[in-house]
Amino acid sequence: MRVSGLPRLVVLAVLLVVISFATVGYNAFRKDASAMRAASLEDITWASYRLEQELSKFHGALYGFQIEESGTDAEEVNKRFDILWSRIAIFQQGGIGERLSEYDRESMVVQRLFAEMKRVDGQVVNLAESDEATAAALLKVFTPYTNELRAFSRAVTLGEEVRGSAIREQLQSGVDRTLLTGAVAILITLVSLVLVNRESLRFERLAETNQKLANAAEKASLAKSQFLAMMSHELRTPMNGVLGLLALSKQSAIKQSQKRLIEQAEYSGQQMVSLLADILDFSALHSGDLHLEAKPFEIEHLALTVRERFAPLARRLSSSAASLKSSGAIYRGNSRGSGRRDGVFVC
Amino acid sequence: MNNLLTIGRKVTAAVFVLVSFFGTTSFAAGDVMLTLIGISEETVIELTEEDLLALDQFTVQTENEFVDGLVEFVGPLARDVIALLGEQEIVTLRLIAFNDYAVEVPVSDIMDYDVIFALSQNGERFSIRDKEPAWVIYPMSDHEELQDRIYNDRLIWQLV
Repeated sequence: MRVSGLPRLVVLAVLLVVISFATVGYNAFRKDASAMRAASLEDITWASYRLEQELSKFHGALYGFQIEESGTDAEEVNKRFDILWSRIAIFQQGGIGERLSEYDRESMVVQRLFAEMKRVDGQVVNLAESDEATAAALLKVFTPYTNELRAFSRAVTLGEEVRGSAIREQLQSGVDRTLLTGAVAILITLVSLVLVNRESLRFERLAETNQKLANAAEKASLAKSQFLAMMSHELRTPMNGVLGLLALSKQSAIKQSQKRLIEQAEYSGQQMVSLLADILDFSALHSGDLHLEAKPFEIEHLALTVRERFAPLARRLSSSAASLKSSGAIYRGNSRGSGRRDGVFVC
Repeated sequence: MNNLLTIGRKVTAAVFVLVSFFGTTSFAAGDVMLTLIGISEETVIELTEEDLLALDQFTVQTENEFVDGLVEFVGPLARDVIALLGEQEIVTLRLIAFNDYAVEVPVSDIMDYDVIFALSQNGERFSIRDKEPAWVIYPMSDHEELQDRIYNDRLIWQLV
């Protein structure tokens, strides 16, 4: 099975997509986590509840102020007023103030309450110990806010609940997304591993087959060489017998014309032995057993040998006999293999 | 969520910082600002504004959820104030605010971190209608581990 370039590209592309998904997922996850952390820091439910509580304490002080036996004096009323003021001051700054003000945007109950407090500030500060009428008037001003603030607290509680669960859901989906991309990445990696493994197995098998073929070819070639060498040896033995008999027959009293015929047969026989020797050389060459040696030789002597060898042929062709004149100079060259240099020389 | 709920927890030693309010809309010179009460409730130290200012003033630059951006708070170190009691075995501090709100703070907080009883914010003294007399400030911007709900709840103000 061959994996073409296309699936590899697809795997690469999917891998890139998964990596980008993972990056996006990780970033979203971090954002969600920091949003959750911020949400847990800003406990605005508690702040709104405390405001509601302080208003009701101030309300209670005003009420108590009108009842002589309660022991509530103008100082107590002022203290409660200051505390209530400090609770509203939270709305003016910081992360908690900002988020609380968001909830107040619709009903504006806190803003209205604060405006009312600023309006009656002088009356509260200057409240005379026996001025029950002013206390009653103030009570009337603040009574509606107790219910409104309760509604405000409830809205904040519900809003935070919804917001918290939204963040939790977002976080959960972020986790799911990250898990999914992780799973896809693992799957792709596994598939790639399997593909790469298969590919490498295929190459391994191919290499094995090639090695087997090469071994078989080598064996066949070796067998051929061995056959040739053996045949050459086997043919040389009877050929030497023929040449010996030809040499013997030349010594008997025979006519000159018969002698020439024998000489020709001898020459052909020697050619045949030389051919067989060449075949042996070829076999040796093939099996790497042929050893060449370098040594000096006399070129004149070589030329004479060659001329003697070719003399009968030249005579038979009765053309102008090839002549060789010695210049007297001796060439001392290097040649590789004495048996082969005459062949080269003839050429 | 509410530290008041944890009062029943086993507290081996505690220091009480109690309410002491004189009915003025602002603290005048000579008024007691902070009251320290020892474990046995026998030691009671009343600290005026002068007493608090006489201690080494420490500056903490930090952000928190109740202010906009980085704010500079100045006031005495909480550990210096508590040291005035001269009690070694304090484990938990009970910090009480003007409106009777109370939180319990392990004494390790003020030993490990430079927690201050801030008297001013960006050079301006607190008003009784804001955080006066003192606001417990943790150096949250310098220590990431303090940026947590637990510590946010310990930023009690109008500490008396």
